[in-house]
Amino acid sequence: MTKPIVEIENLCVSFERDGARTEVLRSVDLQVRRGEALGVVGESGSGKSTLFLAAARLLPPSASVSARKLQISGHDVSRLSRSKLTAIRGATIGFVFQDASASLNPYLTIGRQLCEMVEQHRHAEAPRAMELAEQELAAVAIPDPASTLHKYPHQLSGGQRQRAALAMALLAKPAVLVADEPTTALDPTVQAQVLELLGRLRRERGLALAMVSHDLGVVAGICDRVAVLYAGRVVEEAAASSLFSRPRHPYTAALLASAPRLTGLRPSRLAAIPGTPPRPGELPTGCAFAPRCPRAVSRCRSEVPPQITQNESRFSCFEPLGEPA
Amino acid sequence: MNAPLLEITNLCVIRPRPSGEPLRALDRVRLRLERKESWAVLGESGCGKTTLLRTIAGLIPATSGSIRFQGTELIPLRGRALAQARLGMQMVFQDPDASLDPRWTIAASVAEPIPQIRGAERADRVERLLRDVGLDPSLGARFPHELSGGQRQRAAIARALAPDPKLLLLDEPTSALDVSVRAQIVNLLADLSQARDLGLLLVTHDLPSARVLCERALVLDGGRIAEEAPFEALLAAPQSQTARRLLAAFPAAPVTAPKNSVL
Repeated sequence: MTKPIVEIENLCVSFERDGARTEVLRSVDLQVRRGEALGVVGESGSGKSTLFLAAARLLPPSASVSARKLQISGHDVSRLSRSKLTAIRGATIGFVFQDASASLNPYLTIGRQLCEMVEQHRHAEAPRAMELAEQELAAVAIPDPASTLHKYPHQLSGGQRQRAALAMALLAKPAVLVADEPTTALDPTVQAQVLELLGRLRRERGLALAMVSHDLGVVAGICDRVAVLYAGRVVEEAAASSLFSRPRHPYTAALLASAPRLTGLRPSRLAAIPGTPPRPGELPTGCAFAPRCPRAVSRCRSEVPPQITQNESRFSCFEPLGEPA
Repeated sequence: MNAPLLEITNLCVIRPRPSGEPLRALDRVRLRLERKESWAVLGESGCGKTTLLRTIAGLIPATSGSIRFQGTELIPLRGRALAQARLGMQMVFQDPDASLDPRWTIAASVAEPIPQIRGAERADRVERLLRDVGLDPSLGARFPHELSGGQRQRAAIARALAPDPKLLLLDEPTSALDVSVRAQIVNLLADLSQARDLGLLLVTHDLPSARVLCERALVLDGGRIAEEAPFEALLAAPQSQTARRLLAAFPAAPVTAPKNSVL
């Protein structure tokens, strides 16, 4: 098996607020392998966005992070000094966020910002840097890359801004790209285009991709493997094809059943999961999904189910759904 | 009297622009929504769908055209007469916090649209409204930040229902919610529209939810109607480029329904 680019073992993250500690991630193990696309699916409060920010040590000081292992591209992230970390960060792990404005400076032209990235990570000076920036804009299919270099972020459409933010992350040649809800703020038609672009970049460049989303439909088309997070834990992880056809954890199954479709007869109602996800800091004892779970038994409400590993997949549940045939 | 619930003819919203042609945010839009009927308004960002909803709700002035609600022409009305005519239509926003005051209890926000009802009757009414939207009445004493996103959207719907409207204007009511909660709100709206004979005008990107809630679809593009059709006909055989594009962009469902479903 190829060596993982990202290795996370027993990652715990909590935040201090008003004197109380709130656990956001609880003993999370996760790997992203070379050239692989991993989907991380969860709802708000599941900790899905915190996960890779913690791995890149990008969380604010109010977060306390502990892990048995936190490695990116062979670097032990938990031991690196701040300056060393900053030097390697873009080149090992790149980020694209839901809101492209989070990565783009409104006061600088796109060209200026992209060149900065090239200068820092690839040690190329202008005019070579400008050339590389233009090539990258062309690679993310921005129309007329040469003139886009001279534009400011507000002069681009939402979809183009997301492409520019993507070009910026790619210019550092990261080993793994974390795309956190990259298409959620976009129109469905533009969303489809950006997803297709991510899939193509991955194939062409052998880029490892971690796609963080609340939307199973978004990760379905692009990811090889999917990890499902609920209330700070990975409740199931499996190859995408087996997770979608034979989910083992009732939460995964419920998400799939409520994932809307447009085919078949017109339904008069949608399949709904009762209740709401627990807020961080207000977790029930036992399995966090138990209060909403149609399969829960009394044990689920008192004990946290241990992780069961089978072949290439794992899940944490006392009452899993049927085993794949 | 057999007037439609809402009849819009030649509605235009034109905004001047500092340079160039004025922007025709809505261009000769027409629709005729019968009582208890539900329509989806679909289209890409900037197509005018939210402008249409807001113009009907009176949040954006119309440049020309006609909006008749329950037989009354709204455009020339002002002040108290307009407010009176519009009580029968209520709006639900994407962000429930748009209709809930953070400093008020849920019960106070829900009761605000019915100032004429007082005392014990008022408390009863609020309690019933909260139950109708699936909230425990005890939550009425809480503040918005003490509720989850789904509960806040339920409270916003309860508030919209307070004046006993005949038409709900829904602007992306589920898109800010967690995926596992969205279906609950869609089902709630489906149940409420049945039980209360509500008409719905739903602006959304969420085609599957629109399919559950709406019989007809209006597709807008650049402020104009690109297509109008029964929802199922639109899915089966979209006639316009715009509708075809919208349908093609819908992410294919992961796979067919899992064989071991729990719901």
